[in-house]
Amino acid sequence: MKKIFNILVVVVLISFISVGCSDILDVKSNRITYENDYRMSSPNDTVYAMEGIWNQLRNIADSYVLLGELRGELLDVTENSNMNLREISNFEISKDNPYAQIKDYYSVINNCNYVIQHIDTSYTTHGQRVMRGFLASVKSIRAWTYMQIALNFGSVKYYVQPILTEADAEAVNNYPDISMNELSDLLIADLIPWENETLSQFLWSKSFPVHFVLGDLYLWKGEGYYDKAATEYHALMVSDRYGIDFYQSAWAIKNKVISVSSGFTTDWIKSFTASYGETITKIYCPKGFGRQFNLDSLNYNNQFGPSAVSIKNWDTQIYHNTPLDWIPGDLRKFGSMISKNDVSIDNSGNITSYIYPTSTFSKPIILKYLIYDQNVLVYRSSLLYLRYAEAVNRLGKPNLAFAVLKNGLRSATMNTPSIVPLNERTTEKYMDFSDRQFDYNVGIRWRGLGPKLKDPGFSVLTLGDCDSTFVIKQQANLNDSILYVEDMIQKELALETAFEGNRFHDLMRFAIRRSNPDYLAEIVSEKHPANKAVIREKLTHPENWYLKK
Amino acid sequence: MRMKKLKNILRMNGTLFCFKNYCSILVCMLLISANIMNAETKGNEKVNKFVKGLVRDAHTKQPINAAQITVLNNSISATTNEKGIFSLNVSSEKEILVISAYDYNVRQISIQSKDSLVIDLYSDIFSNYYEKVDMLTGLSNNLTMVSSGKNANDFSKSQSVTADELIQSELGGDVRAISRSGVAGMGASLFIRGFNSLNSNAQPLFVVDGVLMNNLYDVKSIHGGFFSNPLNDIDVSDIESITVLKDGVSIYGSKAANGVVLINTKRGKGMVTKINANILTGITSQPNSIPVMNADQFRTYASDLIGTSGLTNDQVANFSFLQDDPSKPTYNTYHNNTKWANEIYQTGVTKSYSINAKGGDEKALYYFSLGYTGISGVVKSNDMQRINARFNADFNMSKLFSMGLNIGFTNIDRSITDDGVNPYTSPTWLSAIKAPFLSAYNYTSTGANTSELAYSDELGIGNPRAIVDKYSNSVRQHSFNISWIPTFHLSPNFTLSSQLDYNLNKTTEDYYSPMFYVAKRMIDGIGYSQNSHTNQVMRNMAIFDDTRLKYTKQFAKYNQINAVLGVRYLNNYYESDYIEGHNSGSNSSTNLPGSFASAFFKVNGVNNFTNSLSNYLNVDYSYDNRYLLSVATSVDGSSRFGSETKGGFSMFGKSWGVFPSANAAWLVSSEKFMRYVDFINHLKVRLGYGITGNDNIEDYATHTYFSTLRQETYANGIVLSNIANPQIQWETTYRKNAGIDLGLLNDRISLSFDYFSGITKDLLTLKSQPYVSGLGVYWSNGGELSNNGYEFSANFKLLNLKSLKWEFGFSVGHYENKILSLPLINGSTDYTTSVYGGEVLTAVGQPAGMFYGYKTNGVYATEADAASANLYILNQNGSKSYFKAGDVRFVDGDKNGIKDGVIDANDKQIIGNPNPKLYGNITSKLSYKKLTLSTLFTYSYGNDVYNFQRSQLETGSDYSNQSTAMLSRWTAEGQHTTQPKAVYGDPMGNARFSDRWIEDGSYLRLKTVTLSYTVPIKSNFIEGFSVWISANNLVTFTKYLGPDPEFSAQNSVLFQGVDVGLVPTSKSYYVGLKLNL
Repeated sequence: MKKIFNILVVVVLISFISVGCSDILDVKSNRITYENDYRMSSPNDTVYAMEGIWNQLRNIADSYVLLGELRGELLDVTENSNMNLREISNFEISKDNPYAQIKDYYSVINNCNYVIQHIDTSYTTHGQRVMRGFLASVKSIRAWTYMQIALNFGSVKYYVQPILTEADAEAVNNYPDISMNELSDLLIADLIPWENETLSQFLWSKSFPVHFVLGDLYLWKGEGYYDKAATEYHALMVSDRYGIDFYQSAWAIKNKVISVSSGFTTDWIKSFTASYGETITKIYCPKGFGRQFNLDSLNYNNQFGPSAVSIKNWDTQIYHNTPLDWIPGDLRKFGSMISKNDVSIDNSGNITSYIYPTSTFSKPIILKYLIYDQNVLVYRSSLLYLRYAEAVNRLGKPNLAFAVLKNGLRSATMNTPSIVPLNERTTEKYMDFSDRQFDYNVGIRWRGLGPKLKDPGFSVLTLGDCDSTFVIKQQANLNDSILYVEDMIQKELALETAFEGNRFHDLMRFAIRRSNPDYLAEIVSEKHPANKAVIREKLTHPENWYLKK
Repeated sequence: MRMKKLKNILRMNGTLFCFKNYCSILVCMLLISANIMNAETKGNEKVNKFVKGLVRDAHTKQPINAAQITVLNNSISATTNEKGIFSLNVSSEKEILVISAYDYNVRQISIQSKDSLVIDLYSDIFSNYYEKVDMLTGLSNNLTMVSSGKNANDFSKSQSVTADELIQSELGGDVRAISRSGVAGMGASLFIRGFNSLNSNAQPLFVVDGVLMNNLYDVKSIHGGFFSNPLNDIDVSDIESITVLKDGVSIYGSKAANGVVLINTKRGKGMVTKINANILTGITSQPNSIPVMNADQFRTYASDLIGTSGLTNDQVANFSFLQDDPSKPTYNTYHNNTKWANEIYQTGVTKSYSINAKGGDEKALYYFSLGYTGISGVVKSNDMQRINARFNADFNMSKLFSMGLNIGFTNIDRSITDDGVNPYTSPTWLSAIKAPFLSAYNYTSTGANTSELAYSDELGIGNPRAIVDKYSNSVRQHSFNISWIPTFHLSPNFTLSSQLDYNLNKTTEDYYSPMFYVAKRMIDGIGYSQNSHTNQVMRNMAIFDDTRLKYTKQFAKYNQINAVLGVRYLNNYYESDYIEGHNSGSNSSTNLPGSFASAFFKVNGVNNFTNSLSNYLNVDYSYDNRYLLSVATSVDGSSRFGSETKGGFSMFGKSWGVFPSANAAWLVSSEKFMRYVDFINHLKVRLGYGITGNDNIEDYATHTYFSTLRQETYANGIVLSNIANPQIQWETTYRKNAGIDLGLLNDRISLSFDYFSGITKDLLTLKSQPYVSGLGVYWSNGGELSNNGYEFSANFKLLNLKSLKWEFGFSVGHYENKILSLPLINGSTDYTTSVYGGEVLTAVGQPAGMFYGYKTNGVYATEADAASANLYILNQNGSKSYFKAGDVRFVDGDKNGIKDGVIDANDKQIIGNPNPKLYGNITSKLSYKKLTLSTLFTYSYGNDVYNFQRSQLETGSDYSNQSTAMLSRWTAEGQHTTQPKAVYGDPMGNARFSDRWIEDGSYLRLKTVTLSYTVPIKSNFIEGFSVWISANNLVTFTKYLGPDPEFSAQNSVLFQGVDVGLVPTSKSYYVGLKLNL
């Protein structure tokens, strides 16, 4: 009996050993890739992970736009709006609001961390260390995403090693929360070595230029960093040849009406489209294969629309073709919104035909989102110039900043003392607009409101006159001038970049810079005539600017 | 000599087993066995008791000639002479005699130290109480644990298509079995001893001919309301026995927490060739449905509703059905009185043929069968054809070596349409909601009817007739199974066997929803779908091996040991590929993917490999057949277990779970003192305790992995989609059982009672990840629930006359399910799950699956009533809407008892419990000469039902047809009624999930009546011939308002008691022939 028992024990042990020695309990799958099987030693391997990161970015792309605009004063809810959108607009965002899911942001972070940890930058082909371009674009995506977390949620848990187990996740979850200011230092240090790297592009998406992200970070740092911000923005203008082009031929005002021409849609509106050359960064969000793109269908179903404030902003402008031939309104309105009845949209939400916009906007929808054609546009040239203006203004060069709006930065502008006075002409690199690439730059406002604003010396147009009313009003001192110009930039941002996703953060930055929460509260509460006082009171407390985690 | 044989075996073994891992195990086992063989001892039986007896018929008391008497567990046997007398030497005074005779049931009698016995045998018309039962380690007839088994004789007159239907009709009190729907072959949801899981599989493990079956628990069909049931691959006429095991199943360790159902198919048993043919044909009548309004009633309703819809006069004028001028060309189109149910239902027809042959010689025994089942369903164009073949053989190669071979093949073709509540493509549902004033066919411009099928109507509802006539969809299933079972009889005590099995199950589903005939629908975030085509291919491939060393030994006179030591390995591969396209633009261009719009395109799939390994040991020990002990343990590993589980131990980098059980029984009736209690013939007391597990953990949950995301057709991106949880483990169930079996009054009454008490810990639960991981949820273990209850069954041989015999039996099952604890997730332990428009509460202290919604108290008859109640709802924009006359009076009583005037989520409470208080069946078998009348009732008492289909037919909020109950809807001030007013869009939420839709689901149903006649044929050629007729579902006693109180929308625990409007079971009638050659 005892013998038998011993034997049985031996048999059991042997079966265990045979299992232990082999991989009988290990399984593989053709449909998933185990983490420890995936290493990025060549561009071919890396491209999948890169595409994966862009795939995750699209999950926060519509929330970037909705959080940025619905909390601002330009985009408003409608009677069709669902609860999620109303919550955002009223600053009562619940934890399960699909557009305020902090995990979606960290999903981008964690995937970036994985690539950054495992990418092999020593790989060389055709004498190029091509993987450095991958790494640089991942680092800038990660930095931009961290910045969004900090700006939307008030603070971040900063980690750079990928989370690969539940235990890792718990550990990182116990990290301290760091502020935007601390975060900026970490991100700046992380990005600087990569600022001149040529970024890898993927599919129809366009990467986040390191210069732009750095410029933004410096701008958020504020006092003492404006020259660095200006330098970064300028460097991007030079390296990637971004300008503010002019499309006069695109439209014509005849007898105080906009003449119907195909050029209106193909050229003028094109300057806002995602495929246009002024586009710097965009996130491609195609539908199909089970993927959705909410911004499209929300827009199409009138779940949001332009606010009365934004319409008023445009309608109080006057567009001049000549001093005598003009129409009321800013032409950028027609590039930003449209009546739903004026476009035909197929079942998939694609524009099939486009009718010239009428002046009555019944059921207005956001034209920008339609012409983005399933992209979310994050950075474009106008924003780059306006951010540059914001930086140089704070460097004590309000006239230079103003020239971005009115005249366009080019050598002629820089050399005209009546535009850029001598005391603002310094020798920093960011002051250099002598290159011929800048010769066709026009003022951003000039472009939106017509040639009447044209500055002398611009050779293409001879008609019209400079709008002598658009000037920096005499101020008591330089500081007041700076504030005055900053207000102009803020208003110009509303006209030019409305609905593009940056509004609320821009207002936050201005308010923080001025240590004046009322600045933001006043502007945003304009959108809520019914309960203006409540919203205003709420927004005078900066803690209410941030979402619950 | 012996070593040489062993070498031969080893060589054979080497070629037969390709598993490198198993070679080593087997080699070791064999080497060890060799040692044991040398050590074996010969049993020396001492005869110390002489017993003689008389065997006679229980009614006539006439002696039975040639009855065979054997001794339990022993080879000693005797035969009665023509006077029914036998005599026998036995080794124990408490020995149990097993008496069998032709035409009689087997009986077991304990000697109880008596010297002489009188034994009455009952006709085999009665059910057999002392039959041997198939157990996990082989046939057994003296059990320590409760088991319920039925064997082939019980099934021969069954019209069941699948084994789970059989379980419901034959083992009703042992298993809570709920038919999924009236569609043939869909099977039943089965729950043994309550709900032993919340979020994971709670269905029992099926072991078919020794092979673990994958029940494809979480596989979703693309056809609405359809369930792909793997048990449909087994023809019922091939089944020899079904055994339900509720405890003592620990040798199936981590897979056995929900109980085990053993199904064994028939095998050749004797050398006589027997051929058996069964023919069955039957019809199924058109099922009941909730009565709906006729054309005039609906026109009135729809007109009322338009008045509440806020449409302008111009828009209202667009509704053609409002035109009442017969001279208008559209008049005829909108003035029919179509009974839509008649357009899509028909009388179903079932035909089934099977033939099998068995026989063999000393070298080999075989069983071979062929079967065909063809069913055309009660819904037009829904049919099923099944062809199956099975070959089971046993080869006796030598004294040392024998071999079994099982081959099975089944092919099932179905054409099918969507079923259940689905306002677009389910013809059954469309037939309920389609406007009766419309016709299935178009009218010409002059008003003449045509045979051209009409498109979807102006009310946005498709044409059900067009769907059944033109567009049925398909499911094709193929399954193939081959098993090879070598057995080495190493010595009289030792047997080494291995079962190597390969199983392939492939299902191809094809689905098309046509344009025009089906209304176009909005898909959130994408757009309108006009037509769609979906295709899914699923493949399950399993390689299974079970190697066992069996040891049987009798020693020191009274001691008997049966031990099994084994290793079980299961490698399962499940693959599914899914593709969906919308908007091809026509009904003729439907190629996937080519014809379809890319924006709607969807592809999906899984490849899941699962490996599991179990080392197990089972020892049955019996002392003098009176004291029985059974101890089992398994040590399980699985690719699904994490490497750092809390409940297991770690070895070789893996985590292993240990699942022991012990069961003991005392056969009191064998004791000497029981000879004085002669009204008790059989008394056994049982006790058991066991630990089992549930290993239905999501595959790969223990790994960190990437999966692919697609950007249109352009690129694939890979993203981290899971991070490892190395602690994930099985759910553990601890169950106690106490039972008693009684045979009384010369075995005319048999009773069995079991009390059980179980606790399941480490419930598999979805938890939220910390947000920094960027991922949503993950599986973890936490929470406990308990199931306590009893099962009782009784059987009475009421009449045992010469020609008239009557047997009556019933069974009762009862369980109390209670959630003891739940993990804290997002600050709360309790949560609700949305279930078909309703809500199910999972809360500590409550049973699983509680319905959670609003309580109501009638309808406001007058504005004054409503004003005095002064209740309102909050609209999205923050404004208040007050309830008015004709609205439902919802009960305002928040959780904390505060009446705040607002009807909102805080007013929800428990409104129903889907768990029955009692369930089971009642059987009766009456036989007169060659005629036998069997009746079976099933019942369920005390369970609540969420009548989802009625809730959709009484919304009063859209232009779908309503049940006739809505004729009494509130229409005028002062009207007292229970149905609220009809308002387009239901702005006040009168139709929300409330106790209006919760009903008592208790029922008593005459499930089957069968009359069979054994034709007295005296022929050398024909051995037996019987004909039978049977009727199903003839009568149902219930208060339930739906068409059928028995349904199961899904297998999962949280979806019980929800009537989603699947085709109900209806009355059916069968005629069958059974021929034995």
